[in-house]
Amino acid sequence: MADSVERHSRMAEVTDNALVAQCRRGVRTAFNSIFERYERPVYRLALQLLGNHDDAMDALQTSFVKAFTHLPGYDNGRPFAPWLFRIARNECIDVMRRRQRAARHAANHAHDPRAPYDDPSVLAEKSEAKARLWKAIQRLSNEHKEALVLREFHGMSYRELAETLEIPIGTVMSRLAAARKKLRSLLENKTP
Amino acid sequence: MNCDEFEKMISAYVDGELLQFDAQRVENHVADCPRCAATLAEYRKMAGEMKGLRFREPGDEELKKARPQVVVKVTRGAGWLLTIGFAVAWLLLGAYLFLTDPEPDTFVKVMVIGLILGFVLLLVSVLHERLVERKADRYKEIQK
Repeated sequence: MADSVERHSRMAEVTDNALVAQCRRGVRTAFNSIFERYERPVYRLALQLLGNHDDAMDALQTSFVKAFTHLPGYDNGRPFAPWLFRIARNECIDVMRRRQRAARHAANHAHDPRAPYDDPSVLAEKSEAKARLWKAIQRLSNEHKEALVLREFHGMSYRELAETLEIPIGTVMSRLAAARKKLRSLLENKTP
Repeated sequence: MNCDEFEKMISAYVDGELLQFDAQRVENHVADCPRCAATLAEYRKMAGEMKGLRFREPGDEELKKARPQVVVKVTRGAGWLLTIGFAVAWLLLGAYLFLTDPEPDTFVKVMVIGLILGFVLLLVSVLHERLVERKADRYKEIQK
């Protein structure tokens, strides 16, 4: 996906829908085409929400499994990309909830064997300022982080955000404002 | 409208999501309010820095490996669904035929039903135990 899901959706709407129709008929190459088109954007979203490569790869696979399984229920009149992104976002939320449960359970143990979730190696460039910004983003609440990630890294409009996050546009606006306020305060406090 | 309320609008202004009338209100307010002007400048800076973040991309080989696994999981899921669905249908049909068949006497029917119930109870008990153990397993995320 390019910077904007909307732009991408407009460009690919016809072919997306045609591919979905082929998938429903069981055409194997159509599965591959959809995967090729969306695997990197979905991986990127998962990486940005989960902050860990292995978890992002798992979420990528599970998202596509769920998407293909639920393809018969997909409304062909709506754009495909936000629908797929909603599945991926829901999968990432499930992973984050499982982590929170595991973290509560592991709180009483001295050694936590899980991988770090604000792994700086997810960034392609090594820079102290960028690592600090990334770390601050990872410290946002799940609600704030997903809104900011979808807006800033995937260029979603408020309408697309509302559709993907299944919230009213007014809530999108206040959630992004709160996310930016929190991020600003984290950065001003010199996130270690 | 106070500065706290304007802050929410400044965020939408940075995103270019305000109607012209509201955008004009933000611009007018920011021109007279150093605090909100600083917020606008900071939000623009943050947006610019976030756009500058580049993320690690998975290799082509890694993605190529993931694709067949997705297909396997989709077909396996459908396979399990069909198998379990038809197995349950068969069991229900068998139970119906067995219970409505006048040939075996009531004693035999009670014996068979008791045996099946016992087996089902054992199965449920084992599944429940496994589920509880899995929830409490702190090493479950470690790959073997």
